[in-house]
Amino acid sequence: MNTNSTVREQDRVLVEDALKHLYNCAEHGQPLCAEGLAANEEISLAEAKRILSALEQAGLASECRLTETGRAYALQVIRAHRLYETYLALETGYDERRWHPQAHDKEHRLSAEEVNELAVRLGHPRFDPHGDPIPTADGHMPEVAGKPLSDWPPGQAARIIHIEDEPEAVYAQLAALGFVPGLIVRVLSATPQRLMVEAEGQQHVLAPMVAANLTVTDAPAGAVTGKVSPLSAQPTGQCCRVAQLSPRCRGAERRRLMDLGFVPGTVVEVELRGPMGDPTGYRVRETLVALRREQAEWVLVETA
Amino acid sequence: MSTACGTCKECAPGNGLRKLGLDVDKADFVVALAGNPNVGKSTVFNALTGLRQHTGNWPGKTVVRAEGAFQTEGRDFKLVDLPGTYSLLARSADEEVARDFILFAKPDVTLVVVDATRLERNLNLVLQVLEITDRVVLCINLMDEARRHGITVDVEGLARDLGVPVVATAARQREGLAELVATVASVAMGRTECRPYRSRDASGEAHEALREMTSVVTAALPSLPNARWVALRLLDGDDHVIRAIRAGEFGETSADGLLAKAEELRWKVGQEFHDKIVETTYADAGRIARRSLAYPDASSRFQWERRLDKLVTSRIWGFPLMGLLFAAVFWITITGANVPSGWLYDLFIGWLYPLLQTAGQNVGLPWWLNGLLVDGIYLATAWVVAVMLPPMAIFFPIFTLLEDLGYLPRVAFNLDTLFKRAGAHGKQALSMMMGYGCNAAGVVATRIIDSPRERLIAIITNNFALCNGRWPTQILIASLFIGVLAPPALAGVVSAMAVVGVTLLGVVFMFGVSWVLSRTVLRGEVSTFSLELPPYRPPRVLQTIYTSLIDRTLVVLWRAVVFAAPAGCVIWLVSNVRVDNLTLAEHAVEWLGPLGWLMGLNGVILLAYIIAIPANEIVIPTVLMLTVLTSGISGVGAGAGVMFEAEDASTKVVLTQGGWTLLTAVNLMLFSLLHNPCSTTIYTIYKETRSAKWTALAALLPVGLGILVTSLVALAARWFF
Repeated sequence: MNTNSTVREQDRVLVEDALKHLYNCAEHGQPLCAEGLAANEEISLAEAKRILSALEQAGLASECRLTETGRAYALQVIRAHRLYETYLALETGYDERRWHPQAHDKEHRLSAEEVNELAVRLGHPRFDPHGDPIPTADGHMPEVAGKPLSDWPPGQAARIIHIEDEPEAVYAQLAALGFVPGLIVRVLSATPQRLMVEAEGQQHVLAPMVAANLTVTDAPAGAVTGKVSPLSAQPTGQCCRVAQLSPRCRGAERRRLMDLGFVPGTVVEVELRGPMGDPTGYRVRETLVALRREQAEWVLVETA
Repeated sequence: MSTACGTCKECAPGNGLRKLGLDVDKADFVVALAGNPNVGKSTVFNALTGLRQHTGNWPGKTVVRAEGAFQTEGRDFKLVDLPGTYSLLARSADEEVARDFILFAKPDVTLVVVDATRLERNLNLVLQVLEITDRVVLCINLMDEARRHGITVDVEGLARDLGVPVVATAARQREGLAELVATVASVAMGRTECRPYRSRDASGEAHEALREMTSVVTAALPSLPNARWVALRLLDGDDHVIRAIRAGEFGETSADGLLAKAEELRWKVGQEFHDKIVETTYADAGRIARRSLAYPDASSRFQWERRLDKLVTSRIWGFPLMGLLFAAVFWITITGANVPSGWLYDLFIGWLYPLLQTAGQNVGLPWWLNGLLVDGIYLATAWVVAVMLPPMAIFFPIFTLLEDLGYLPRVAFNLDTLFKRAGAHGKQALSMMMGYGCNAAGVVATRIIDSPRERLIAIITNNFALCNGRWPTQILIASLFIGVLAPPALAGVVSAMAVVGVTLLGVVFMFGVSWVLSRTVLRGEVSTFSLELPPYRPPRVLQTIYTSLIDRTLVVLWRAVVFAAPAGCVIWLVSNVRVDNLTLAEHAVEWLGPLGWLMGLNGVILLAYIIAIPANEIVIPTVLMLTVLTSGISGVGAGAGVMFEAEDASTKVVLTQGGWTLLTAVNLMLFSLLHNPCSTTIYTIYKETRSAKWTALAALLPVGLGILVTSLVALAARWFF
């Protein structure tokens, strides 16, 4: 094994991660220092200092601040990461908890051409599955304005625009509860210890620290905030109207459901229950379509 | 007018294009045939072109693009059958093929076939086609079914709403086809002008962006007939359209300005843009459909279908009905095939084979050439045909009838929960059942599974369904070695139980391996579930028998013959070519001996499995021949390299003299279940997956399991006895 190239490869990972860190600090107006970098990347202080001086030597940073070149480089890495996560979400069957670690590894290994090819293949997506904007090839990225859910006034509907995917344990918890960008939520009550949050007719209890990882903004006009319940909960023979497809349903699954006619406004009748209770046959636009329980959970309906 | 197909990159030959034996290059007009899956599109295609493309009662049977031709008013029309799709948003390979053909090959007419009983959903696709092209003819098919259900369609009103000609047909009864042809010709020649319906944009940020983009596109390319659609695709980031604009395919313009505007607006349209557009189209489709459809009293609609559905999927009756039906299918196949198999055996091997041998000697062929041709190639091929043809010719048509009736999707529906637990699709039940007839056909049948991960699982595990080439082996060995352990009165039952046990073990392995695959190597593949339960349709018995014979039986048989002939050649050669005074077969058997011992088998069996890989049918005849050859038994068999079958009693004598014990028999039954698929199936897997990796996995996984399982059984047997 060629140790030399391995060391360089490791350096590339460290350098690029450091660039991302510096970029994030600049965006959030946080102070920059070797200590912060060391803590964030879980490396020794000496190592962090070495990386920072390497960045300065390469003209990517000066006095703990990104230069123009450094900023462009950081945006490239971010672009690779977010595009790859989008790819994993839309075109593979990997579980969402695996998106971030895989993209984190891949962002350092994709060349600029590969990243551009990926963008073309995905139809130049604007946002990644966590709701973050994907920088364009020339480094353009709009600001996303929002507030942490923990600061949102109770009672007012909000739309999730971003879910922080670090730390992993918190993200896993939010993902397991079904929080995704696009989800319309409402804080029912808030105390310093916990937030009562309603989403898609279900109630969740979140610690304020966890809720702070959700960035929200005003719910768009006409957003479904009324009484909805999942199609999977309807009894046989029930007729209902589709209110929306949950934003939790993405990629190929979402397209398939829409193709089958599960779009807002459509009347669906629960017609046939399988002998083992699942799947269930639904009459939708004169067609009998069987959905599994998990799919029917994504279809939010209003009953007359 | 344009007949540009083949000149542009997207539709050049080799891009999923297949011709069906007709010269369609010199056509005056090109007609594209589009439609949702399972609307009788292929029936319309066949009715217009006189070709025979099998159409099952399944969504999405047209996997490759077919072409045909017809003539009217002295002009030649080429008809291109596009894959059945629900929409044209180019999010899947099928949709991309269909969309690109309509957009870039610019057919003179696009004929959209819809199902009269499900007009509302089908109109979604129609509206999308109308966005792309002006020259459209709508064919409302399955009018016979609509009448049966009491649905009336206001054809003229629909034509007015959509702005294109509409023709009502019942293609199966050839009703309305003459009018359809005349209408297509009229549109192609420009006698009928179309003013297609275009969606009006609703309010909202997304639609405002679309309006703005459309006006920019119209300003840049004033002659474009489908500016709104192009604008839509640009906002959706469709690379094919972006490239087409750059290449000037839509006309001369400053591409950069247009694309920069699209880039800018794309930040505005947001993530729900796509959903909003689909929603609008469906809302339009619903409105138009409601205006032109009249239903009978809702309570009487589809009543008998609903009742039948409740019965075949009921908690109490669902599974017993299914079990009875499939038991009957297998019983008819096995008992029904015995007689014709016997006839073919007598004809090919009893009568023709000695005749050919004598003829060869009479024309003075050297002994080795005569042996190679007649004892090797002819015998192996004849054997495969005699064993394989009758069960397939019975099994496949029955299966196809059940499929056309619409019962099989209900089976998938009933069993889906079991398959879901193993990470597979309910439709795998059907490809497995097809596998009991022939694994190659089972692999082809996985096409009905439209989710990539579940389809690969179904392909890789299909070999765990014992195919009809392996049933005779199981039955023979079970009755010779296992039945005899029981008192004579119970022998038949015990050996039958042994065969059923091996079959069930196959089902267990199928579920187990599916479960492992879905959680390991295949977890990154896309997975979606959809199962449409089509309306019941009365099957057309004669046509089904005809097409299923052509499509399934003969195709599979032909492939088997192509593979069996060289195998016969190899079998004869290894038993006759001598090195160091011993035949190649004897060398190989000796060399394979240790592995054979480890697996509780012997070198002869392993060699037979290696050289008889093309067809499981000839494994036992090869084993018998090699056993006689290597153990020097005299008085049985027909010489080196000549496969034979004998009476049960003398077969047992030969095998026992060849060193067979109960362990050998049990392990042979296990290995017959768990070994690589035959080469026909391997080839089919490669054709279906287009991947050497998945083909290798499908071939090596079962044989690996087989070696493991037989070795463990042998170890245990030697330990305990």
